[in-house]
Amino acid sequence: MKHSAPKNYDPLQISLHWLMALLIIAGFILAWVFADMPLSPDKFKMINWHKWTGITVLGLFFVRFGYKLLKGTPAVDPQLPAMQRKLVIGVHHLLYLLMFSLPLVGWLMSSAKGFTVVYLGKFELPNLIQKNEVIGNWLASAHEVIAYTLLTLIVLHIAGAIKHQVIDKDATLARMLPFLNKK
Amino acid sequence: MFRSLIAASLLLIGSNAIAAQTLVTGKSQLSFTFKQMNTPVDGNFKNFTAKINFNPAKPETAKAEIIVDLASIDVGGPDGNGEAKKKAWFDIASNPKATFTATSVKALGGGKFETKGKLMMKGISHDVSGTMMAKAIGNDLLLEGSIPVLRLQYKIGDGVWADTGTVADEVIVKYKLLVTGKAD
Repeated sequence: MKHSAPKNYDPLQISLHWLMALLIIAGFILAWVFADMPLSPDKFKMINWHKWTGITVLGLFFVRFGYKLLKGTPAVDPQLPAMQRKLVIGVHHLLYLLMFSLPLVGWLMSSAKGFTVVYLGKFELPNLIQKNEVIGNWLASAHEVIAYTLLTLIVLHIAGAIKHQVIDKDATLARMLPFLNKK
Repeated sequence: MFRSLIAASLLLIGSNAIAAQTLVTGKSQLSFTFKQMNTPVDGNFKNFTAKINFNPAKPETAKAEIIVDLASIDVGGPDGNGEAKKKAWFDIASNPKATFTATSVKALGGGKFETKGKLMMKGISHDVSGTMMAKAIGNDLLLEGSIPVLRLQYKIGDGVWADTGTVADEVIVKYKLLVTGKAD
């Protein structure tokens, strides 16, 4: 889609970025906690919260990605070496891909394991595939691999932001944290 | 011919017992549905026996006893299957079987029946009632029905699991029994 790149992220893009960041972190924390818990009502609750968090991320992904296609995002610093620019663009594309595929594979896995996702305990989502234990276990492994890939990229993404702020002392981080500009 | 002779002799020998009909285990199922945080979850029992004597034309003489091997439970995963056998749930070590004994069957018309009986689990017995459809398939009879059961009445899912917000109290027990042979 052709559009001239905007100078800054607008408030909607910034809000979506941070809201999704919080939800993704919450999703990780819930998964780590319930993974080692013995079966209990609390574990069931946390598994369900984890699913609702993921489905929310999936929904917000479409809003965010659709809006990005419509409005565009600020261009990567053209002064960066070509290699580094490619890396940055690649990481961002991969982040989008994983933010979409992680909850989607989670949903598929839920369906395959025979546990329909009931969003917020109220809205029954369709089962994407039929119950199948083998496929369910395979999807569970895929969900984990995607999760740790996403986590690695998030760490890289945060490291990049800190490098810009602390070492380069430029306005990259301030694009997502506008209050840094007002100092 | 030989088979019908055996069947006839069994009928004579066992005329006082409940079973005049034989359960075709390969074509019969015992399953259940419950809600876990509003999410419907299905499970089943692989092993059970049923002694049934039911003539759709004479429901008032119906007799049935179904004995379920609780250890054969499958709730869809190894974690759940292990948990279900524990003390808080079925406590299979002390109570390996559940027994349903029919007390009355009433015709509702159109092949539909109201079934009443006693369900005994974990040493606790309660009256339960449900509906059933009876359908002749050749010489066999297919009995398909459901019985809502309140798990907490039997202390199934005791302690922390008594919270019905995570696992609902109501469990719908569903059965599909194919019986062969003539009722008394």
